[in-house]
Amino acid sequence: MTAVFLFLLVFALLVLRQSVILILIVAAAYVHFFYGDAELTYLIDDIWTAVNRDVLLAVPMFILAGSIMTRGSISRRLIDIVRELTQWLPGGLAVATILSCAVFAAISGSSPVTLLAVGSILYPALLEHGYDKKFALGALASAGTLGIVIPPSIPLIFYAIVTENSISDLFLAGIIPGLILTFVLSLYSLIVNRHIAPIPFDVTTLAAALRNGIFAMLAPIILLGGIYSGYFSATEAAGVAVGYALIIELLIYRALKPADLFDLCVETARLLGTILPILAVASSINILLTVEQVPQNFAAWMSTVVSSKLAFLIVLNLFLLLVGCLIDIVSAILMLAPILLPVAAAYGINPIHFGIIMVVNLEIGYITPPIGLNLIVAMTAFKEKFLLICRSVLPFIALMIFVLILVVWVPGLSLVLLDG
Amino acid sequence: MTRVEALVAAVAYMIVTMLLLAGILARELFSFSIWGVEKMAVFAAIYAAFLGLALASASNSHLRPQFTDGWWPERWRPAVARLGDLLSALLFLWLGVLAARYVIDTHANDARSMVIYWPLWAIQIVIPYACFSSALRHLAFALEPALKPAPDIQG
Amino acid sequence: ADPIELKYATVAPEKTPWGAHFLDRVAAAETAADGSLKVNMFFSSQLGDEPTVVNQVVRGRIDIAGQSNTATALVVPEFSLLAAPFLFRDAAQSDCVFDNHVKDIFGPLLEAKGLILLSYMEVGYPSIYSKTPVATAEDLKDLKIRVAPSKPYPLYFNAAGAAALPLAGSDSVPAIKTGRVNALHTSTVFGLAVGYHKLGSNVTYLPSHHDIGTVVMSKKTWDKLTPEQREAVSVMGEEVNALRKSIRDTQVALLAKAENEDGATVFRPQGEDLEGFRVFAEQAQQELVASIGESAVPIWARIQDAVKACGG
Ligand code: NA
Ligand code: NA
Repeated sequence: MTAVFLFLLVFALLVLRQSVILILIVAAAYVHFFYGDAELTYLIDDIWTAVNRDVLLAVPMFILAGSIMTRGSISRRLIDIVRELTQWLPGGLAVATILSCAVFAAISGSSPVTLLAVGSILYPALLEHGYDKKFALGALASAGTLGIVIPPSIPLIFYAIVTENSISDLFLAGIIPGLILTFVLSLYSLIVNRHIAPIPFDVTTLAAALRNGIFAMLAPIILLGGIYSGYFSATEAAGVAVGYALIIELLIYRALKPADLFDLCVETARLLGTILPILAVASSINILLTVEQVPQNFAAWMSTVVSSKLAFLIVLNLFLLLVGCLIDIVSAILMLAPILLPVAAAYGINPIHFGIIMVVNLEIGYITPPIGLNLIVAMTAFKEKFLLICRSVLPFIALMIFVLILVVWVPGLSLVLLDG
Repeated sequence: MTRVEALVAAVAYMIVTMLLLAGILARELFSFSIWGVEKMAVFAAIYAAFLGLALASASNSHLRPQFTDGWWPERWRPAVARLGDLLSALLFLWLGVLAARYVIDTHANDARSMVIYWPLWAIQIVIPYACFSSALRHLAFALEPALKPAPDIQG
Repeated sequence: ADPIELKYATVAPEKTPWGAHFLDRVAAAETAADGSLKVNMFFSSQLGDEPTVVNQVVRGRIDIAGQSNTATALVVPEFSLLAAPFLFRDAAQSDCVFDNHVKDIFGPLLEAKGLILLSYMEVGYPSIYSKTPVATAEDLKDLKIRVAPSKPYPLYFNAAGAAALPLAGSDSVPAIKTGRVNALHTSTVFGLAVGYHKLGSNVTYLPSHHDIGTVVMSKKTWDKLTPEQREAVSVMGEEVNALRKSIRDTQVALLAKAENEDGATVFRPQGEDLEGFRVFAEQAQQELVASIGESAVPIWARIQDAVKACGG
């Protein structure tokens, strides 16, 4: 009965035009009241606990760093270098698109940001050089998702936070799957576009691009190099990313004005103001579920229904692909990871590997309708029909599912860099 | 109000950046650790994020499912929108009161932060503030719908 | 009537001497309460890390916690004085102080902050797990060492010339793997049980800090109990000696296993070498008292008196 009433309450709030945050908070308060200790200030206690964590610093800092590099000139300079290096191949500009996304992914933690940064420069260039519009849209929307597997990655940070795993381990685990995805997408792009005439190789323009882009190129090297040589933690790396981007864009390239910086900080704060309450409510409900032993019971039930690890993995991946179609990746991780991880652990799946499985699955969700964030962003940014964009990503979805199977099948792809 | 909140949030992020960099430089170049830099940075980021919550209310950027909007008859929609804002204002007000009660408890218990032993109420107080500030925004939108900005595209 | 359900939280895993001790005491208390109390145990930080749990015990959301010195000191900062470096001459002396004086000194202070002290709890002596050998105090100078985020530890290692980095337990392993630190400092039993000696294979068993934690109940919960139930709950504070013995036996056994089976090099500084480590203690003790503030001075004096009374 109380469950039915909860459903009615949520429905009423939806009809009365309430935001996701308020709906979640009211639902959580309801659950606390009827299933928890009936003390509603505990909800605030959980919100406080959820936000008062050192690792959470990495989220706004990586978002801010990514937006500084995009608003400034680091992203454009990186893309220039990649383009000069690859466009002499037949179909080279297509490869440049995929690789630019991958390189940009190494400084940005977000998929839509990667898509926008690379797309705004290379989409017009692709059309101008005779590439098919459908291919161009599909390549950008799909390769744009590389931002979340190749470290740094906001969804991996959230996974680390809610499952209490190491951010740097997860980042490390994302590298090889990210490179395989990049390779597969590049190879496909090269084959499909092999008939398109290359742009002649020019040493002087390449040299100029390298000269102009030297500080930009150092950004991903400093970031990842710093984490894995032990100069700083993943959290601190996010601060370094902001500091480095600021010094380069404000003092050396002079491509960013202090007023822009102010706007970017405010945008970041607003974005965090919309994400953090969701994190907080998700952890509050998770604590309640833990007290009631729900994840353990669910794991036990699951193991009676699905006996083999293989069957579990198939069910899991189908479920996650479906989830990826319907909700956004951060919410999916916040709500599902703490419930699914104990189940996966019962089948002997490594928690770091499981994180990569989740993120690659949900990455595909970025380009599946109806709710595919990159599809929507591409539609708005390139002013194309939603249906055309949906059709354009189909071959890429197939390739990404192929890589997903590899990643699930061979845990070593995620874990080999961790040992030693 | 928006200007001040935005300014504090932006300054908070610059403080976070400086604290993190100072911590690394002190450790790697001068091999000593600045006591509690990460904790202070977390507190600055918490201020920024909750002010961000208020700013997102002001700019109408919170995620809101819109598929039910069309269920209302055309001529009722503006009234329903105002009713919705009034309800949001009440919900934020209620949440603000809960948060304020929580912070008063924290103050009474004299709860301290890990590592730097700062009184936690001074940090937590930004939570009720953000709720009350959001409530005020929604109340303004309910009274004067023309003030409400068009929703952001989420990205 | 239905029994009163109580939530008991700890960061300790179930399969440790602490886990076994808590379970044993909980069973004894439930029996003593004659079915009027039911205690649900949450091990391994299931309900959150220590700062979260101790704040929730004060609020009455969690009823009981078995927690470290660091967590207890969040509520009563003076509690960290008990972890002052080289405060005690030897284990016999510290046992005497803990058994006879801790409750008198800290019971009222904790109660004023909303916690009923059921007992203190042995955590044991810490060890250093280092990439390079730490045989004498001189060797500390090369260390970038992770310490628990509570003043007694960094003050001591910084005074000895090391660079101490206070980190939460969960950040320790990544920090030494990436080289952010080259040594870890933590409880001998915990560190060896989770395999820190495989990350830093030079293990120095150094009795610099004798760590004790506490078992506390929320005063809000305590106030709701009948006198009979309070008596039953107090049973959870008994048998501290059994836990103490179990921790010390485990320390010895794990150190021997690390040395003989896992190829670790174990240092147990004695005599002059040990005195060398003691040199920096005085300065760190003074800094510790000063860092807590005025209120620490009389408590520090009482602890000194207790040490004297125990033959110091
Ligand atoms: Na990335
Ligand atoms: Na989707």
